[in-house]
Amino acid sequence: MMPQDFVPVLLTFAVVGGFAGIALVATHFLGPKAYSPIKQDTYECGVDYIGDSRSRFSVKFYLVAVLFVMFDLEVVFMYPWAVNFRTLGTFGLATMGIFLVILTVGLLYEWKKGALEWD
Amino acid sequence: MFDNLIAGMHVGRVLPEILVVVVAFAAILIDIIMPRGRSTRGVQVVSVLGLLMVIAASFFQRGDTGQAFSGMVMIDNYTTFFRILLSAITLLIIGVSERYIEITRIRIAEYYLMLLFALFGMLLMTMGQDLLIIFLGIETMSVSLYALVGMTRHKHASNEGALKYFLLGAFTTGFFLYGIALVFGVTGSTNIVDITVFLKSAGSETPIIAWAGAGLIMIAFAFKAALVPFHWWSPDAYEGAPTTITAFMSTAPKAAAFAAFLRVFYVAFGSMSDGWTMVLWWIAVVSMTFGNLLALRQDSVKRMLAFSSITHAGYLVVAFLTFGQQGASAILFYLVVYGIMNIGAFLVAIAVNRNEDDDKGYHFDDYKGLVYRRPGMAIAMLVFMLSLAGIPPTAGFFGKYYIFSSAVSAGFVGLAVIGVLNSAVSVYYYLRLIVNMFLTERDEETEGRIFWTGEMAQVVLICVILVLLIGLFPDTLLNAARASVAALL
Repeated sequence: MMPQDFVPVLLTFAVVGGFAGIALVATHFLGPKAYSPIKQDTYECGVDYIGDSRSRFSVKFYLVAVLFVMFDLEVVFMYPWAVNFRTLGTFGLATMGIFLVILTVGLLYEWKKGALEWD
Repeated sequence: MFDNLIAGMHVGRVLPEILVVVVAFAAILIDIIMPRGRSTRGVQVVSVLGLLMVIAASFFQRGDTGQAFSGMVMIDNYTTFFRILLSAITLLIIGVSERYIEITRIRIAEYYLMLLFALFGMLLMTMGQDLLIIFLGIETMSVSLYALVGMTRHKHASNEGALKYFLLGAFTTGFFLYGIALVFGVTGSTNIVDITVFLKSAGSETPIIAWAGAGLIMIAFAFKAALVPFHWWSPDAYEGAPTTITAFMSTAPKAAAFAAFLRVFYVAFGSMSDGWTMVLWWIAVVSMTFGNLLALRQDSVKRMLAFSSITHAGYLVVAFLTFGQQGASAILFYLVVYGIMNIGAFLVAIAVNRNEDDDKGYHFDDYKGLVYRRPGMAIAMLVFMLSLAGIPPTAGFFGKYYIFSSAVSAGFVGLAVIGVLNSAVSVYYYLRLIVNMFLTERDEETEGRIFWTGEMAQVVLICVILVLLIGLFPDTLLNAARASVAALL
């Protein structure tokens, strides 16, 4: 690939950037403006909004998410192994066994530490 | 069908690492089975016994060198050297911790578990022959360290240090990965052997992208080794962490970072040494000077040791950029010596500190007249301070001597002069402590209670003996270091 092969790409960038810039500037100067307090309000499908969008929620959700990702990945590794179970034979079985033991110890740990209980 | 694959794995060669994981899992099970808050002693005993086994396994397996896991890791004398050093440091720290974590109210088994996982990560770093394995090791180590720094949850400084360390560390991870990606883009491999072959054949026509990749990887290592200008996390993390962890962090992870740093830059980027030595020249100068100037101004012994550890990392870089056997063996020698004297110094600092809950603890004034209160402790601290300052007949003297002589014989005379001058400046703040201990009257009204346990006494005694022994007979250790780096160059 030569550098000049990228000229069309550069041109596209220039056109896209130029169009976006002109559109922004043009609407700023050309569009009619009428401000009112209602117009400045948060738009919530026409209904009066309740509270802030940045509300606080329990840190426990993070723990659930982390645990989910871990065991989700476990399955990601197990599917290819299950599909190739016959070819991989004893070697595959032993490897997956070690992998599962490691994860099981982790599961036992989080269970006993109360990570699986919400309260 | 997989016989070749299994034979190529050489699982036996990574026995020490497997042992570390097994010990960590045994510790987890003990923690699960025993009632809450009672398990730490059991976990500690299992960890200590396990680490002794790890050290023994590393020692007796030293002859079985070669690749394992299809070239992902390399077990050679270099690996063995660091295996023993890192396991020994972890062993010492775990050995003295039980009473300390009790008084700092962090008596949970996770303290030991995180140390074991950090050790596992560091072992991966030292034996990794693939950039991705080294990356995996760095992350395993770092994530454990973030948690360890923030372990004292009721202390503001601990949380602050952990957060700073975590945010900056996570950022550095990006640098390292991007560096790997660029190097992979050029060489088509993440394996150090393949990268070496490719870059050697490229010679002076090394693509600019490889330089960029090497630069990014260097930034990541400089961060982990706390070199200026990538050191900003270290004083706060070191100060906020429980002091046993500070002692650990300033020795073992630093050694592991240098181990991986050496392997990657001496082997993989060896053909690019003309470029990176210039960069490291400046990093060495600013690390030594900056660490010193800030250490001069500290009133807290813990912070002083934290800043001086930046300076010591700077000395290590002086030897690093000589790019030769002599320099590399000087680094290994110094890492051992620095580990011993720093752990000793931190343990005495723990003993003298009046109140763990006081953020303004570890004050220089606490040491006033220590020799009249605890002569043995004061003499031990004297030995560590003299060794840190590099005064004979301590091990620190020979450490610095080998570093600067390697710099001189590689032609970096100017750098060696700057290093020696810095070393002279550093004598001031080490002597300040000695003056406080020996030449100042004790102030009975303000002095706190000494916290001292049998384990701490044993470890401090071991450190004193080793510092003096290595100071008198440096050849054994130096020969071991030389034999270890022979595999590298």
